[in-house]
Amino acid sequence: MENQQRNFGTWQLTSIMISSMIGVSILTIPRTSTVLLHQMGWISPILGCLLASLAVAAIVYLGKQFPGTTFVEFMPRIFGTVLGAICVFLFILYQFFNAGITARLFGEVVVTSVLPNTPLEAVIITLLLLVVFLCCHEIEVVARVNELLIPFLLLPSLLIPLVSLMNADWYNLLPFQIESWTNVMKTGLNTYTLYTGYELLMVYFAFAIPGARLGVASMTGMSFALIVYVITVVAGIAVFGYEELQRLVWPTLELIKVTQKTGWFLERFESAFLAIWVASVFTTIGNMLYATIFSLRRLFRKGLRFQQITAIVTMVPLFFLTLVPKNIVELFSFTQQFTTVGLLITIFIPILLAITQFIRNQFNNVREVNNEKGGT
Amino acid sequence: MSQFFQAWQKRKEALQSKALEQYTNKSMESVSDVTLTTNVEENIQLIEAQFGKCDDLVVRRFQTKSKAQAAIVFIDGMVDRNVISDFIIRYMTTPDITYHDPATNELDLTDKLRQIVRNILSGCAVLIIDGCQNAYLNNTRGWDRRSVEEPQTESVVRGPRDGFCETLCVNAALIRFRLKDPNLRVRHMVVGERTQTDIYVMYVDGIAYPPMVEEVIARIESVHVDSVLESGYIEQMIQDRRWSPFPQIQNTERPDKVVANLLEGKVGILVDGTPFVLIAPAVFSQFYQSPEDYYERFYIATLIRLIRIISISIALLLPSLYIAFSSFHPEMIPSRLVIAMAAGRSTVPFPSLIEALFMELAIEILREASVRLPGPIGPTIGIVGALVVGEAAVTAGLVSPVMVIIVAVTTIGSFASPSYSAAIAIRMLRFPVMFLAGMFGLYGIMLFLIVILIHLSSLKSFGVPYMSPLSPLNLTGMKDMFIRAPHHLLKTRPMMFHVQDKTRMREEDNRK
Repeated sequence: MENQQRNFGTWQLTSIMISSMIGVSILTIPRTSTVLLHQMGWISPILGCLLASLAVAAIVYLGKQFPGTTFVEFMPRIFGTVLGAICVFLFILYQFFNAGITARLFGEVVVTSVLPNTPLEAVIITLLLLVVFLCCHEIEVVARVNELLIPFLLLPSLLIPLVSLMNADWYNLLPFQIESWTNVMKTGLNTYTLYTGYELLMVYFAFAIPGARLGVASMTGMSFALIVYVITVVAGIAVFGYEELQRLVWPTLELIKVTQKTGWFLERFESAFLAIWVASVFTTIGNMLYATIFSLRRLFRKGLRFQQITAIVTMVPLFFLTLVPKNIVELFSFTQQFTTVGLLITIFIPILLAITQFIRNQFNNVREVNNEKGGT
Repeated sequence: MSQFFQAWQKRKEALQSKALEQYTNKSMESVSDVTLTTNVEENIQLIEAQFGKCDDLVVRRFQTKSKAQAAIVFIDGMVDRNVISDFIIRYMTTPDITYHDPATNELDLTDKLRQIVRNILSGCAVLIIDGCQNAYLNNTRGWDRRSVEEPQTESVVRGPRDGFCETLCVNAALIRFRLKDPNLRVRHMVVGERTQTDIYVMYVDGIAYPPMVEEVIARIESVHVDSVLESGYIEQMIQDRRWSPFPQIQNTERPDKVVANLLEGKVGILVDGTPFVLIAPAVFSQFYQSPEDYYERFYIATLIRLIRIISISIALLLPSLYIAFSSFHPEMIPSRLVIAMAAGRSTVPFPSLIEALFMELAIEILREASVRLPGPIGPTIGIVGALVVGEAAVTAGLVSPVMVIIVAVTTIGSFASPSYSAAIAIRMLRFPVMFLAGMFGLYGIMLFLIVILIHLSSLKSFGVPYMSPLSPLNLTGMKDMFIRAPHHLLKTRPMMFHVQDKTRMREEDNRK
């Protein structure tokens, strides 16, 4: 375990969190959140945020309870060896699949909109090779890379919705009322996946500097993601209207296309946006897969060499997995099903862990008090 | 797999130790470490035996005032002859002077043959007197040295004009002259089994982080090589990552830059025989920071820094952006320009990647040739190059006019970096990114940039992360990263070098 000092600062944790959360899903969010809620679609990221915040709070609590340990160590400690091992296994598997889906989605975007003559495989392979290169380094490199790439994410994700508001028709946002609360709940449960990526903090919190403010880091990250999502959805609805949004595969990309006035010296921006967006997608996939491979390394208590070899070996099945959905429709339905599984793993498991740990602490306190009494 | 690696590593180590044995046999260690006798002639024979038939070894025999036989041994050309004749020979032979030792400014006594040989080789005159077992080692070093001139590689508009020269003690004096601090420490080392090169490690005690200084010294001590002809030998042998294209130790010809860096808690490594002084640790900011930034007012300094950053990005990316735009994303270029570009390219038979590679290669050849050419012909090659590569290539339909502009801007951009060795790294990385742009367009460029960023974030120079203070983020350090804040705001030294004395400026002494 050489070179694994706890040296992640608060800002590094924040940037890890932001860049793990914001990835490909921002490209589809104006559509997915307006399917049921229509013009009130901008509520759904807020609901998703509330749901995810519960899990984030649980993870922060766990991070404070078990400083310096990743989920690989604390899950078995809370749930017992067998159940804990199952949870660890599920978690690793989930990250693995999630990264695969993200890679495939981004590959589809790039191939359909920017590089029409490039095979999908080439885009996915290069992206995965990049991740392998990241996995060849120690974990502190991940934090620094996230920190360096965060401007590539912050600027476009805030600028594009704001600039596209120039074409907005604000009446698209009216009427201001909720038709069905069941739909609100449904969409909320679906759109929390926008925030998946926060669960990686169960790995990265272990390397926080003693004294780093975990709560502040995760709060900043969550609120930033919330703002970005809400203004993106608002911009999408205001520019296109919810009916037109249903017919757009990548609404956020269309937002850039309709924004003509930004071209001072470049005529169209979507290629540039996607090129810059590579950085943010890379950090999402990279953080997920790094966490996966790193937790395998922790599980088997091996060194950096093991991690490098595992990275290379696991990329091969992952690459073939990304090619399983035949087309983009199948990919979207697959993603939909995956959301339900994700709900279990990224929301319920952390919350259950936190509750169990909390109860355990209460019992221990009582026992300690009793012991003290017995002693005197 | 891991067994294979272990076996490979073992073999590598075995080869290394074998090589080490081979050359240590031939080095200074081969001089038998005997002691001198009391007989002059025997001693002379002992010394001459070490040098073999060496015609520039001068042995001058004379009689001292007490009628004892004496001899002085030195190497012609490395000593100051006036000192020897006036202050050693005349001093020792004039009966009026009662003082017995030679009147040189540095005098040592020894009877060890190895030390005597080493001193003769470094320009000392050795005085042997009959009946005395100890030999006098007189410091008579004095050979023709280049005077202190303006540095060739790092010129500034405002700032001192003196640069380092090839002599170690002069270089050390140039630093001392600017930093009259008793805490300035100098550690002397000798590296190079055959060249016996002197090395000074300089640091300011009380500012520099002691473990870092020790690390530098330990790494220099661990260098076993037969020759050190330039500080680049040391640089490449003590750097953290040997396979990285980025310089992890800074080099400079400017004493003011060294002093500024010593005051930031870094360590200077002076190598005899070269005007290039090493500064460790180095961070990424060396690519675009120049000492001049601190001499000009801060608005201008900040602006110039930003211009340098832009020009470095141009030097790295412009040709590949051209390739990406013209072959993958023509829709991004404004429509009138794209028509003009297409018209220019209509006669060009090659894809834009080949076109760009051709032009870049031509300009690299020109640049290398103009460095090697004798002075008076230098400007000629510029004119020939500009005519042939620029105008004629366009007329012949080999390249498009836009490409000529791009190559010109790229080349000029790469000269804007104040550090030559950093600029070379950028110049070299331009080629892989061009290939990637030819394959994947903007996506390829971004992939390459991410690879570079991952590599940069994994780099460390003597324990200091290469990208600091940008990553890990340090807001205090950012005041002197992209912008140059006014001096009254730079009250503390940069923290990333673990400085011991944090304040540069005290609050109460200065006008707010």
